[in-house]
Amino acid sequence: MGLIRLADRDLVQRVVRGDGAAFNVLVARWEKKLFNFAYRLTGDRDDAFDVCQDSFIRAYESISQLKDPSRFANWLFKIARNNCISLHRSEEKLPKLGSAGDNEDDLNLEEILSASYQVRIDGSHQFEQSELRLIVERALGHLPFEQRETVVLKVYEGLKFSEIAEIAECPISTVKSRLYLGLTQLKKILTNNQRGAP
Amino acid sequence: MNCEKSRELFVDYLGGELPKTEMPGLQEHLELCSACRQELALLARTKSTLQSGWPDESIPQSLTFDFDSPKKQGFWNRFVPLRMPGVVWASLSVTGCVLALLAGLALLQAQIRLEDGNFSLSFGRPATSTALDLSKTGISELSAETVKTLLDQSLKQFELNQTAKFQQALQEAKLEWEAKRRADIVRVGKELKYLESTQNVVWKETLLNNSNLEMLARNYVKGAPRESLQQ
Repeated sequence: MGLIRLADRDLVQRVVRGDGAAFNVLVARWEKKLFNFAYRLTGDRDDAFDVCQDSFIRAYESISQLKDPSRFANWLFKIARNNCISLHRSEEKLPKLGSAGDNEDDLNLEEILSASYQVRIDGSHQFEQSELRLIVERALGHLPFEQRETVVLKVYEGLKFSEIAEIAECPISTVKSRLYLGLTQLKKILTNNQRGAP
Repeated sequence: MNCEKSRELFVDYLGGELPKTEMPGLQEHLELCSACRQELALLARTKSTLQSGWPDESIPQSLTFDFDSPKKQGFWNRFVPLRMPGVVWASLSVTGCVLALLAGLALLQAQIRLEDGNFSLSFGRPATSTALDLSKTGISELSAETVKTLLDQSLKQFELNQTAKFQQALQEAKLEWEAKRRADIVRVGKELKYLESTQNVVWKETLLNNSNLEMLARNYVKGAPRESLQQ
């Protein structure tokens, strides 16, 4: 089978003609990326898996509506992003879409940040990978959803500003603003400059 | 270039989309302004920390969609009791045909006779005028030996047909069973893979918990002298 060598555009065209195997190739190609994208947005592995699965099903159902088959990946990310928002609206599950700092999780993070071995990214402290993962996960969880998705799409998925604007349905200037605010906020959390070094 | 303009370009630089025309101006400003230089360095470090801190992980269970099954699955297959092996269906079909033939003959009040090498078939109530008398049709000229040979041939042909049908049904049943066996093997394989990934997740969570406990312990140890001093 040469399907695996085909570009997204060709595979999408095959799927539109009813080729289910071509869709499974697309799934195998993008499932890991989509899962990690959803995981970083929801902060929950099970929710991310559900979002990933639902997104592929919705994509299959409406693939004939995709105007530019070569932009399948961005279209898929947009579906997943909307699924994450739906999940949040239905279950209030997305972490801290609004203001941060008013629940137990924040306190835990504050404790971590204020500890004597405090979080610093300026090289003054070396972290275990598992520690760093926990810190980054919680720091991302402190961002409002719009900033969080912008940071995830840029930093982890490496999309262009124009592509992020298309997914988030906003102007490019807004994307840049969200990214700057998000990174600045994360920098504050990770360097803990406000509290000062011990 | 002033600090305000410089910081507007930080996002483009960090996003890898800074226009080449803007690069010299930004570089010049950064050489002169240590505050902007430090700010950009920390933002870049933040970005790399995010990337290294939360790397991509594999999906807990690989997704595959079975698009063909719903189409292949016909209306009758929705009824569980009707999902029987082919050989059972073949036997039932043969039995049904025989029963239908007997019922038809019974309805027509058929009478079959084989006397002294003569084969007679009549329908309805026995009546000499309507009965099919083989002696009047010329068949009576056939000897008993010929009739026996014809019957034997018919029986053999019937046996051959039945054997062929049975073999075919048996072959279909074997293929079906083999397909089911393969599907089971694939399913078990997938489940094992899922179990493996679940174990990985548990392992990672354990690592996280251990590190948290370690952090708390360190925190406690470092906090203890302060408490004693306060006391």
